[in-house]
Amino acid sequence: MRSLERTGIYLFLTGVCAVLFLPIAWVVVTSLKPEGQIYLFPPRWLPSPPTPDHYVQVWQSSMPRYFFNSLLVATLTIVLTLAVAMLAGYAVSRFRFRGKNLFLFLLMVSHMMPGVANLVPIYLLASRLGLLDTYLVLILVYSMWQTPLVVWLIQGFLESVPLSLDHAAMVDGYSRLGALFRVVLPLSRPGLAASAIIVFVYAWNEYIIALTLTSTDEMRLVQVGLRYYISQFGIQWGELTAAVVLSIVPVIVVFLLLQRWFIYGMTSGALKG
Amino acid sequence: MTPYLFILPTAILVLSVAIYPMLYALRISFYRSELLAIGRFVGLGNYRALFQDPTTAWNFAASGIFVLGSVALSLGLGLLLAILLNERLMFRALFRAWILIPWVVSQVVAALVWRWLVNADYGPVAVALLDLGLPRIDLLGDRHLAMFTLILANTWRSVAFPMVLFLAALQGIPENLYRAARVDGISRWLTFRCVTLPLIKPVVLVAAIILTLSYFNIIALPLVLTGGGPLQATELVSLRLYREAFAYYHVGLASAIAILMFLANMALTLFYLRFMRARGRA
Repeated sequence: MRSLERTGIYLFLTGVCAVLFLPIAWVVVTSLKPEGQIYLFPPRWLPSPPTPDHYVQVWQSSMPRYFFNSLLVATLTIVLTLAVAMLAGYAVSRFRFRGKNLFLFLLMVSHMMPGVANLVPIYLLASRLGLLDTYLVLILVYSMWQTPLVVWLIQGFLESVPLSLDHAAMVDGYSRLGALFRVVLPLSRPGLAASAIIVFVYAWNEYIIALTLTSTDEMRLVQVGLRYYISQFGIQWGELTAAVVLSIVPVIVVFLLLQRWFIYGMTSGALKG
Repeated sequence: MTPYLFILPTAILVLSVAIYPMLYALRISFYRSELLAIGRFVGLGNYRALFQDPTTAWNFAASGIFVLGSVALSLGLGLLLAILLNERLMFRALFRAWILIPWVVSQVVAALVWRWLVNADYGPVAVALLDLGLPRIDLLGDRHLAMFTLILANTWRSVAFPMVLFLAALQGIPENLYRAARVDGISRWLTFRCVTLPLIKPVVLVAAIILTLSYFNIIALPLVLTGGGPLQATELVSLRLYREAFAYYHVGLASAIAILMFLANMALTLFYLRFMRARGRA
């Protein structure tokens, strides 16, 4: 690539990142301001001096517990969703069978109903099964909601892994499942990593289901906890912004961990010879 | 038999639980509701009321503008960013993670922050514009600007989703295809159109469908950012549903709206699938 073009790309990316980050920058700056400087008019651009007070307050509240809950629920949701969706995605991309397209379409149908319309029936169902206020019900509902998307995604990604690789694996004596786990999945790792990130972000950000299906303070998730800083009488911007900044950290960590899976040109080696 | 065994867990998890809410809403949509209790059977009465109310058509039109604008903007920007971030660049991981940040902020918080930022009287954006000698601009007070701001905020919040998907799809393309194209002296644009785009098309299609459905059903962001205003300009059909259900307790009417939205979503999905298949054959 020519160096002029490279410079252009860097400038563009930096510009986009700056614009995307502007609202977040305001959040970060606000979280570091002493209480009295938050509502000044005209606004003060930088806190002087910056203070960690709001972070300390958040840390001393129930927030750490909510973080733990969210991490647990999000991680187990990833495990359940990917395990179930991987099998279905593989079947859909590798087999011809009756009802395949109908199956795919029906999966998406579950997302065509507006989310709020599902809320009351799911609440009734969960209470009838005695699952209210448990981790299990959140993991089940989140997985139920994300599995259709991930099946579609994995199926899309598997389409680009050549069929000849499955056959080669089976000629080498692997069973269907063996071919799936030993050959096909490793090649679709970028797709799996992307799916895991999407499921994590969903579970981490979901608010209305978590609010409806949990009732005790020990079971609350991060997003529900954030709402405690917003009341009819006003918003505690200092604590809220500090908590928001903290809530961003785990997702960035998960992304950086998974991003090692986005390895360049992986199939090129597999197809040689 | 094997494929059916493979899809069985998904079928149990999704279809068994998803069918129930749908049938529930369908049933309720034929009843008049009194507060939270189900009242008498009114047949298609709720639907008739919706069709006779002129605002219903606008609710759907507003949703159409919002969904179309947001999908076009986030798919386009997402694809551009993914292509650029697929190059070998310095700080590539940093750029990628950076773009992810707005996606992590919940809709309620995003809407609150945006409302503060663009407030015409004390928002930092307005103050900065005034400092630069530009006129006072009320982004949420004007009908067109409010819709524009809503689309912008929504794209800001969700552009990382298609970007992550496209990035993963681009990684799956064998590099020797590109090498072959380079050896044959094919231009970058032609390589993109004839190699990259066809190979990532399945993922683009899935992203378009998922984004359309989620934008159509969005509630928290518009509710907090514009509240449907000014003068109903951003009163999306999803907001109407929310209001009928949780502000006026017209649960029957709200269920009828949910069923109409469901049908609209289904029509949109079928359209995408048909459109992509037709394009694939040409």
